[in-house]
Amino acid sequence: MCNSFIAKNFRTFKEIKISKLAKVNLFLGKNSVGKTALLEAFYIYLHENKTEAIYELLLKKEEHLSSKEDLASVIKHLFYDHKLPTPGAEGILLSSLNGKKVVKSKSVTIKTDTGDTFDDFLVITKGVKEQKYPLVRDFRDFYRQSRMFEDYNYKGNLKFVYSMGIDNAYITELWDNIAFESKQDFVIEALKIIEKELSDVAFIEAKNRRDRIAIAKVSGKKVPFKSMGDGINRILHIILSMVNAQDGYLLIDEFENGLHYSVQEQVWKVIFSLAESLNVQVFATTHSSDCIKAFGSQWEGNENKATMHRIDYKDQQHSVMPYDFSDLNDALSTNTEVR
Amino acid sequence: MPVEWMKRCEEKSVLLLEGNDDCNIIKNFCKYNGIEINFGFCNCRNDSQVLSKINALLRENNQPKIIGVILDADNDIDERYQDIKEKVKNFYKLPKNMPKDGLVHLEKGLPKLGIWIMPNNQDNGALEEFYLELATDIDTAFINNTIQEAEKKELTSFKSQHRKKAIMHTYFAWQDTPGMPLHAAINKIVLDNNAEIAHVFKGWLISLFN
Repeated sequence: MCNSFIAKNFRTFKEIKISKLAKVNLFLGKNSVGKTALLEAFYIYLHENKTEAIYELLLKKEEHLSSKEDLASVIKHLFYDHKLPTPGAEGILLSSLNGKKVVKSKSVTIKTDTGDTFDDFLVITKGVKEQKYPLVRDFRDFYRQSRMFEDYNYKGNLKFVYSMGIDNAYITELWDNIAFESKQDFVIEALKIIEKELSDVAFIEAKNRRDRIAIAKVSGKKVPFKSMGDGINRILHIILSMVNAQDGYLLIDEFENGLHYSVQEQVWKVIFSLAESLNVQVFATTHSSDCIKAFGSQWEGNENKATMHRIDYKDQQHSVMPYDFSDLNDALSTNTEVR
Repeated sequence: MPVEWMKRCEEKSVLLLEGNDDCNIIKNFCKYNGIEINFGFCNCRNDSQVLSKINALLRENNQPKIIGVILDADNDIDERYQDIKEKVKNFYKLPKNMPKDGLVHLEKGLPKLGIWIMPNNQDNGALEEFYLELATDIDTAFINNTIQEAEKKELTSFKSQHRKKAIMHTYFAWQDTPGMPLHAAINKIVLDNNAEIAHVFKGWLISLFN
């Protein structure tokens, strides 16, 4: 479990520090304050294969970037102010903390350096391990090269639920991954929060399609998920990801997307419960006060199992305001804004 | 339910109070003493909600610039001050003891914080002691005797810490239009602007909000 975190020179953050984390962690903040960037920082930090993580964040999520461009012009977007640091200068640091100190053995750094032949490299270090990639080569070479490293043993217990919709093939893969572990029942149970008559889920071949599509059995009838509204699809995405993240980590961006406030409490209940039973550490973001209230309802009585932080940006600096359960209670009971 | 003017909890300068009576009496005091009301009244409805509200405001993204707090000492003035200190300990380092003229505290990067503990930052008691000290027309001793008569006949049920509150409301019950709401009743009462407590409280309000 990640008990604290620091990110430096990453995306919008010159520096952000979170001194206490728990099993379930919620981050609030205004638009463009860096909530998604924080999840991305966690994603790279917790990912077994950093280049795979970077590839995913820069190429799959941000489609305007092309893998045919050189590494320098794509990777610069990860750095503070979209600027590559000069060779040898301090770059990105992602780490956990021991008190106020960075834990070197658990740190990830990403910076640039000049090689023996005067070519500039991207240097990614994790603890004592170091990997170098020429900055002039294509971004896709960087990605291919990463796959050849011997520590490519990505176990898949880190899952990122983006704020936007679901990739069909990806969801199918998640479903198939848990086929032999009787964990599909967790998903079916969670889906009943919205559709009480739902009894089963299957992924079936469809005409004129290469991928399979998700269908639910509702009151004996087969209904495609795509026809069932945003809420149930969001729960499918969140819970299926969570079940796939056993003994690992789940990142959820904009938790409330598609979820009516009346169901959010129950979804948090499932998340708090699975976080324990499947041993998953959860990091979620929101800007909805309904989501905060729903989260609070499950936090009560589980004070040590969760944390809540608001990310603030003032005077060109990021800071975090931590809330204990009693702090949140003070705010909610006096109708005071938390976001 | 608090009326609109008591719900101005979002103001950049805000005064947190325990209840309706508190809001009315302080507003009346300001009017009587010619103090400009350049802050929002925030009726928190009870003492523990006042403490909650301080914490909640300090954690806001958009903190107020000035937070004033008026709380009753009730049965233990020292304990009350410690409650407040405990509630803000992650933000402010407040003096060990409550200053007798009320506290106005400045700390870098934080809202200016003012604390007044009723009646006078030294004695146990509440807002009503403060008010009766100023409303010299109210014959406290006489009303208290009358209440004691009623107590002998077991006609009363108020808690001992609310004696002054009972005296105040008993007085108003005897004036023209019994049962008149407090805010209307107190308008007819003369306050002693020269009382020591009036000077000190006025000084606290002005140094906090100006």
